Amino acid sequence: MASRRAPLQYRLFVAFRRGSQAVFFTLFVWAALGTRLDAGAFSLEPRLDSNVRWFFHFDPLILLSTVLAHRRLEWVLSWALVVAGATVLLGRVFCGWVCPFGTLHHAAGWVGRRVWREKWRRPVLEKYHPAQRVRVWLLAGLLAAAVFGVNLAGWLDPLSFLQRSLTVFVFPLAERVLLGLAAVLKGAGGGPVEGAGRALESWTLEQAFGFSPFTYRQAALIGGLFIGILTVNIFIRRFWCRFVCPLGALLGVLSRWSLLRIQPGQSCTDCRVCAADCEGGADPYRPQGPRQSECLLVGNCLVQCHRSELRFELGRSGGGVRGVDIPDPGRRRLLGAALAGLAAAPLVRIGLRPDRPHPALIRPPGALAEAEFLAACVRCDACLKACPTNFLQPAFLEGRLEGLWTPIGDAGFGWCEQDCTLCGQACPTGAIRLLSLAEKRAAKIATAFVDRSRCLPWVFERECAVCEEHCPTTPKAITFLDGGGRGWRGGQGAGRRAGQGRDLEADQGQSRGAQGEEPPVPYGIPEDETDSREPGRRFKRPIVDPEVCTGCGICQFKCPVTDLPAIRITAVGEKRAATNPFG
Amino acid sequence: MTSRRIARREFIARSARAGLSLAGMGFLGGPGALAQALTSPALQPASSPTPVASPAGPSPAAGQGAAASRAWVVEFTAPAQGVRKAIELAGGMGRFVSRGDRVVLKPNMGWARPPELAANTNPDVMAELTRLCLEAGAKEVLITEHTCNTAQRCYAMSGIAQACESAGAKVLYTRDSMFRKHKVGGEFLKEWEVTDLFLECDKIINVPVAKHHGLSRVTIGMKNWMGAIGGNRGRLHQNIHVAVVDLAAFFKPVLTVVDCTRVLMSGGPSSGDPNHVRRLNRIVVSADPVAADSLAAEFLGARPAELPFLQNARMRGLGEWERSRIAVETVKV
Repeated sequence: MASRRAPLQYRLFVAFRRGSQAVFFTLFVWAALGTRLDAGAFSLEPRLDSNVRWFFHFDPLILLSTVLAHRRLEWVLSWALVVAGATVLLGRVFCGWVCPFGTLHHAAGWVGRRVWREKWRRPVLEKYHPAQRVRVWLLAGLLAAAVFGVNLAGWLDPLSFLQRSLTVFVFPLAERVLLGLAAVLKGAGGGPVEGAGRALESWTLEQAFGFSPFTYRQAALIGGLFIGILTVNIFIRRFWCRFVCPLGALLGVLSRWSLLRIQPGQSCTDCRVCAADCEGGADPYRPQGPRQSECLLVGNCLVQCHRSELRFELGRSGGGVRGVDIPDPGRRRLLGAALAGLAAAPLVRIGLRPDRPHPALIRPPGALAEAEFLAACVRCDACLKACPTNFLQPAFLEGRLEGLWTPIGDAGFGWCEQDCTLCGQACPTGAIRLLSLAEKRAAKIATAFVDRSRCLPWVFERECAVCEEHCPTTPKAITFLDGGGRGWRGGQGAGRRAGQGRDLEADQGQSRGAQGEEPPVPYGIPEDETDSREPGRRFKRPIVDPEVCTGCGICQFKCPVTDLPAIRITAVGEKRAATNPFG
Repeated sequence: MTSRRIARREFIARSARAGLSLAGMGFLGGPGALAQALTSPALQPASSPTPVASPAGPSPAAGQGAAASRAWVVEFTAPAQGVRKAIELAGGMGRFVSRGDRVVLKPNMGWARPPELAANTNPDVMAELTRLCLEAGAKEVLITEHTCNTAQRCYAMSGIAQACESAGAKVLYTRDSMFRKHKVGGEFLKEWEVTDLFLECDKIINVPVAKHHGLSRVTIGMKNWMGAIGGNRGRLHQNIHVAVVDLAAFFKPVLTVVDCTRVLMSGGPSSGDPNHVRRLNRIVVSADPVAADSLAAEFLGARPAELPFLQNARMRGLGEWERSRIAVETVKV
């Protein structure tokens, strides 16, 4: 342990670095948490409270992979050039000072090592390990796949990984824990404790999360990966940043030209104490300084060195040793990684025939046509967070392996609220276009089908009509067959009779408006519409008009046959493009 | 009851039985259920569920002859004026709300539609009622709704939350933790989840909007209570004309104010089509919930005689639907 403290400027450097990490982490979590319907001011237009998409706009990996795969530049993504430029000048300052996922790993490692002390420390892993090149191979593979339109960078992009984990796992869990705690406090009785419980419940539901806790599929998988990767930090510091992160790899490549670098001085005794807390595994004790592509500019080495020999230098290092500053990834291995990426492109698409889409592949309204969508989507799941009804869920294999963790709508969890465009507002890459409210009302994402073997009035002659009640379209997509085989709309025009009933058997096979008949009579408030209690009364049996139905799924969600709803939406008929026509 | 000595054996046996049944109830329902079971109206001498508020108007179906109920219909140019006049005709808000009361106003705010589409109660009507209650000395005016669409969208688009907060009401979202299983004591609904606000306040005023309904033909005041309950509400549709009356018998509002500023003539209860809306500029006020529904139903072009839930309500003694038995005063402002 040094008897003298490190110079002030180095201690300040580390202090600012920690402050910067804290600020950006808090900002990210706050922005992610607030990416939801702003209910505070009862605003008429649906708006997000905050929007985490701005972090993604500064992510060079998102920019690169989306431009390669989608072959179109979303101008707002060019903010990422700011980060790229800063990296060229200063090295991996983003990784050490900004990246919220990196901060989380850094903190997890710090806590883990404090708790478990020396038990898990692996000194051999504190220095640079050749396996750190793996992340460059991953980057090469991802970019190669992107060239062929397969954008998988989102699986491993750190911002995307963090956002997805927060949305699907951390936030729902945290909210349930807080509400559970509030319930305990409320039940404990006694004024102030109960008051605290009420306040906590109020804050949790209305300020912090905005809704009752949501539920997401694959929460265990995504949460497990999240906890798993964080746990590795106990053994290997910033494992993700050093061995996995493709963004770190990209920034590492860019930092080879950086002007700012740490350099040991003349009287360095090679004691290597500076490496003890090196987060990047960059070997700062080397004569030419730390490996530029691994150095995260964390600055622990500056403070650790007993002689304060390390210092910043501007300008290129001399000595002709530049060539080994970034580890040679190995030409052969790099090529191999790129080829693996190219092979992955068709492999992740194996599964379904393109003309047989999966019925559950219901994309958010405003989504681009499927191939384009998959190329633009970075699997960040910000849209899942923004969706106010819990309708959007992470896909598993519905869109084949390529579609893993892209958004799909599931009416078992919610529905697509009619006057809402929040998913389009949250999407960082334009994979979900921001629609106007008028466009959104016309957007058809699926089609509802009445299951006549389960629908109460069809099967049990029990009145229901919950689906028709909730159908939001104008005119309503769900109307009734009144058992007389003649459909009537719940009220268009005024004051005309719905017509006489007919023999039920004769109508079995007939569709609405059968040949030789007048078309269904629109009605307003005809006299025989009122419910009567006579025997032989007709039951209002729902039928869907597929031309009008937008596939929002509120019918499926509200159907009282809760185990397997009697009306269900499937993707067929969605109107993104000609690739999935109806009929 | 005179005390008598009982044998020790008998005492132990009785205590054991009582203890086991109490423990059994507690085990099945948890401590909350136990407490509720002990305090629920079912254990009290009264035969019907304890009403949360007693009607201040004349008791329905009392007395022979005509005019068993009273109602007021006001036609207006401005909703606020119309509401004020109607309440004044009914005897003033002080007749229904006492000083220090916690009053819950139950609007229809279930749908994410703007006021022009008549799917929700008019915000001006709600705001004026808030003001009237506060003027009459209410300690607190609370507003909540268990919505059908996303709650925040309904509260915002209906305009009611904004208008009533400005008028001094406390607008609350109906949270899951607010539902409490309660004995409803109906024919179809025995026990159901009810929003606790309605169980704990002093007075309730029902402020529905008159609308067509695809299943029950009309939805006005009695059906508006569906927004005060939780659970799988779709199930009520299977016997809607009995369920609605069960609810009306349970929630006893001191007053029903039917908003007929705009009414939904067809496509109800949510519609979305402006062609279905008719501007009537009226308000119907009555302490008799059945009379209020009956009068508003006529505005919607329905015949009260053909609405089963009105018949059921009359049979259960909740009020009068026959026009001849309602004294209606119609005023133009």
